[in-house]
Amino acid sequence: MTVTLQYSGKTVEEAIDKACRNLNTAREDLNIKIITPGSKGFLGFGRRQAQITATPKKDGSEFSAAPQDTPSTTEVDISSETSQKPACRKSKKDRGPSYRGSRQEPAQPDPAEILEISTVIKEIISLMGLKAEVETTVVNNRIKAVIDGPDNKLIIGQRGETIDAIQYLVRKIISHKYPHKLFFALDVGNYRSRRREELEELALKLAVKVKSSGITETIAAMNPAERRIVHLALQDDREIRSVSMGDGLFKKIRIYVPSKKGGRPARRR
Amino acid sequence: MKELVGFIARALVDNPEEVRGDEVDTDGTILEELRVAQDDLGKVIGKQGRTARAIRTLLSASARKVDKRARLEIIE
Repeated sequence: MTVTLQYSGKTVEEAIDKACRNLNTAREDLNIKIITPGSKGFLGFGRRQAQITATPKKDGSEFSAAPQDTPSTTEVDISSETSQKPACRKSKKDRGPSYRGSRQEPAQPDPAEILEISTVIKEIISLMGLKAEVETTVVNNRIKAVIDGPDNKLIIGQRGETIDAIQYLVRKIISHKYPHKLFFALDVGNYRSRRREELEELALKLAVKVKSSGITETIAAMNPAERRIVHLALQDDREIRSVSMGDGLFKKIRIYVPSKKGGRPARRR
Repeated sequence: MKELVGFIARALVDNPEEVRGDEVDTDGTILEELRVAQDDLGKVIGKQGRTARAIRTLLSASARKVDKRARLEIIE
């Protein structure tokens, strides 16, 4: 038995986010259908809400296991207003406790899955006409693949865009076959740890600068993983705040002294 | 490069047998044309075109290796 839920939001993205949070499920595990894409309108006129439906994918064992007396299509309209929050909470309760949490610890990965990951990476690299070795290890039940060879620079790409693209595609390909949550990270040489050090250094350097001048500094747009590194590097510093700015996957980070800028809302996370 | 696009596309879709790829090379620029089943279009494009963008990124890296440029077109 499948459950189809309807969500709406200012943008399709926001509606999907709500679906994920509400169902406590990764985006990849939901079949999402867009009913209306919504419209930002012009100067606030003609604004329309985006509407989507979300259906948990076939590994719905957890979903079907939950007692489901509700009709298979439940309408849950959650708009961004907090006043409507209860609807969200209620539907969560309906779903029963058998949901996997987003903070779920990884289970021991299936050896076939590890082999598949390494095969897919090797195949992609060789089809790209590049040469590299791939080593796959499991640390704390998380799968880690490291690519290494003469073409490392090309495989990393500008600011890591190629390695991120490979990681994204491998993830997609594997979760297409193995529907459960995948804990997988891809590295080339020691690119990720080098980048981490670089970002931490940059974050701390800017923090010092912001503290002495009081002027807000911004770091160029980064992906979520890189933003996380910066936020973590700065989270223990009480004198400054860091906040992500912008829309979409890539956001800038703004570092500022909280008293400045007339009471900007305290950091969101 | 045709094989690269085909491999990724077939691994992402529900109807791999309907994946078709064409390659046109006009002086230094390779055009890859990808056709998939109607129902699978979203799978190769991805939300906000993220999957298509990722495939394009790999294609560019691969083309750079042989000093060429590559474009990917997903044909509806």
